[in-house]
Amino acid sequence: MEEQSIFNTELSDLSKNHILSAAKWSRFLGIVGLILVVIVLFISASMLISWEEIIDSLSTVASSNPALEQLEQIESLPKSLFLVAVLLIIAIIVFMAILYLRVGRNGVSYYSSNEESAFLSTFRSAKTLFMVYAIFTVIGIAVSIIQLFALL
Amino acid sequence: MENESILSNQKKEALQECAKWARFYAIASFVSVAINLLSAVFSGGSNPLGMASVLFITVLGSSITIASAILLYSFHKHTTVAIESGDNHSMDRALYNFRWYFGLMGIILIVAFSFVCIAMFFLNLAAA
Repeated sequence: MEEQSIFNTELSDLSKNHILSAAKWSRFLGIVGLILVVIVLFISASMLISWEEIIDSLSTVASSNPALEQLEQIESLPKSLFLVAVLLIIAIIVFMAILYLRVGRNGVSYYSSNEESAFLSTFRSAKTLFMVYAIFTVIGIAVSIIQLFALL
Repeated sequence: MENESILSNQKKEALQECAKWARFYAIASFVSVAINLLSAVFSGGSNPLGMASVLFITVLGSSITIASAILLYSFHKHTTVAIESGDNHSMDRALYNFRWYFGLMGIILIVAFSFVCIAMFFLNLAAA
């Protein structure tokens, strides 16, 4: 008798519980990600308001400590560049948080309804998460290799 | 019946794709840890205290990265076995690793946030 594939039947209760647990953790990560966005927005707004004071204090620190003289370059940093960097960081965090929330929502939905579409959405969102992390890791590796060669 | 078979294939495909990227991310993480450890050794400089602190931070970060990479790699390994053999036990193990990857990330986040809160509390105390 031919053994029936697990994909033609339902997953075991244990597997479903694992998906539910992963979904709950993922939802938590997504919510924390969105809270982080609010914190980043708040900090960036306060930095933009007191931009001149921050630049002045960084220049003072840089001039008093020769090891930190690279900080003096911040004086020439335009406000718009800082704004672009902050917006980019926020966009990345929001994107990741949405993916985590999607894994969470669909995982819980699969546990309760056993719908195939929820299963597919859970793992497709997880795939995108791993893909984005992998791309960032590869970029990080490239930067580290360049730094390593600069040190040697 | 045919429709059911197509849907099952979709399930397999989604899991396989997810596991494939999980493996790629895990391998990239292993490489990243190796390079970071090398960078830490070379960038420590002549100051032993500086070198020790850089190494400590790198080893701490690397342990977390390795733990998550092992979970993702195991997820890929067991998913592949489950898809090839239709074994329910392998599927359980694969999803166990998938679950603990997210669990580990959540726990690390809680610990990191706790440290930030404690640091902010002491900074406020010192400022006052």
